[in-house]
Amino acid sequence: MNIQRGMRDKLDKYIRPDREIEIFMDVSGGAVYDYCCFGVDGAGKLSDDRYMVFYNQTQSPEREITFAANGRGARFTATLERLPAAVQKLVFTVSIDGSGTMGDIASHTVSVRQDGQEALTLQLNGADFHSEKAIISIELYKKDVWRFGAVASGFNGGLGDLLRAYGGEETVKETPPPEEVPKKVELRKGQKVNLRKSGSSLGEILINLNWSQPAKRGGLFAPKPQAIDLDLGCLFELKNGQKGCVQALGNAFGNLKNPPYVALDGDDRSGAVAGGENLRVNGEMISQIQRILVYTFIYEGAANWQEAKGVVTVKCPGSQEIIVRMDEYGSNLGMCAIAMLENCNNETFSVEKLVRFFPAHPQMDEAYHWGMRWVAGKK
Amino acid sequence: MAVNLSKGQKVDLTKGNPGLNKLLVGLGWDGNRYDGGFEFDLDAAAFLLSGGGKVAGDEDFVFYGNLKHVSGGVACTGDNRTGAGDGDDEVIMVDLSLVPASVEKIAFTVTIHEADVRKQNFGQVENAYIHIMDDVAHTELIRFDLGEDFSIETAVVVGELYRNNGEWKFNAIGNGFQGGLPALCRNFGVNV
Repeated sequence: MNIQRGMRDKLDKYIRPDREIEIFMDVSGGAVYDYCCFGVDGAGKLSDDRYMVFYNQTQSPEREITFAANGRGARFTATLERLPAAVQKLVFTVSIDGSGTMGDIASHTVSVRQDGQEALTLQLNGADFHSEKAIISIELYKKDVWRFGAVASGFNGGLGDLLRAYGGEETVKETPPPEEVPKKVELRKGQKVNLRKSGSSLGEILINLNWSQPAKRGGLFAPKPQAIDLDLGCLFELKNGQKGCVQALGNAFGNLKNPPYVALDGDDRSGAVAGGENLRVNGEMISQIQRILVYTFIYEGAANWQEAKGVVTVKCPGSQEIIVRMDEYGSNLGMCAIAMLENCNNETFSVEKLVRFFPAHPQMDEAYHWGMRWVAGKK
Repeated sequence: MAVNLSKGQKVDLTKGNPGLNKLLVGLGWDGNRYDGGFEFDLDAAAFLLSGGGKVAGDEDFVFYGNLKHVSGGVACTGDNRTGAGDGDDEVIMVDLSLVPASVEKIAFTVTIHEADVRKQNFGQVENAYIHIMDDVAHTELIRFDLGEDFSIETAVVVGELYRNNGEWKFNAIGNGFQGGLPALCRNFGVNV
């Protein structure tokens, strides 16, 4: 059955709310769309962060809610009867990562299914929206019985507005007192800062990745901790349209003096070498560079991001250090887009924290619209 | 002491309240809590109904385009275009002593302005209520929280005052309709 914005009804007219439900969400358009399910309490607040299910936390504690990527879209499952009593409403959202608004989309479809049968379908397009950057597509909520509401409305401010609406923790650190000029700034996810704004040239920009090895466990028969090898790399796009990647895998170490003006130091296979892995960007050539996507991937060892505690530091002469901590775990995907550097008026780069996980290069390439062709490699 | 009504409940208004004539009928709601999209503009109206639940003439439809009934018995106070703020979003003043004897019922309605163009409906409206105040003593007599989860309706008959054995009573209706104000008008016999 096709539903329209604003429609509300009891779920049991269409499906069995006591059994697993699938919720498929998809947006077609030119931006990067993120899908999230907030499991909120009776006051509409996310009282337990573990009930925010999305690409970085793909299931709730008892798997009552799960997330999986589905092409460009998402597939959620929900078993409403198994949710804790405190969770009274599941809010399914779409937010735009980067530029673009919901008014620009070609279409948005939400489909609620059970046993492979489509029960409810909400179909929207760009004309249904204005400049929203985050919307609530549908809600499943308990009021005596489980019901649905086709909200299809949202906020102009994106994911931050959603988090504020549901009272989740989008921690904003207190800014230090003004007399203390910060030498370092740690980015929050989605936060973007410019390296430096002064007219003088940028110099060499150093992007460093460092991480820890798993701690040794006690006991004779304790399993030997598996070494973690994180590889640092980047996708680059030059102003002339040239695209490529710089990484140890495939011996694509780049070149600082010549295109792509990005180069990788030698590979640190253990993380033990002080300094970790370094990428350098020739800031003098900024006018030739469009954007650089800094990523890391696990070449050997399990995708144990929590133990690796990866930290990326961006250093540029005359700028404060920018720190991007890989502080989201729970992903078993082996690749993580960490930060995006983008050319600002050929004067400086903006640095944006991403920390978004992918299975491999092609999916990351697609998410950020790089448009390259990928084949497997070995170092 | 206000009486909280539930849907379908009917209560005495003037019985036991001798001399009660001047009423303030306040309607409120929370429209869009999302900042994207269009503003919600909800309009309150009153239909003065004679026999058969119809108006005797178009002038018995009191709304933003006809703010005051010719009798002076029913008047809208103006239009709140956004539903922002606490308290009543729209107010209709009633003086029962001036309502013509031929009027058997006064139905209070809320509709969404340009619902079709803005793709809006009552499924997006929350916390809608109607309350009736004694406009002389400034006390709340009756309150009806619609509390209902409306869906794709674009018009709601919130409640009605009606004559019963020489007294006025109130009926908490809370029924939604599709088709907005034009559908309500046709229902009550107003030419649109």
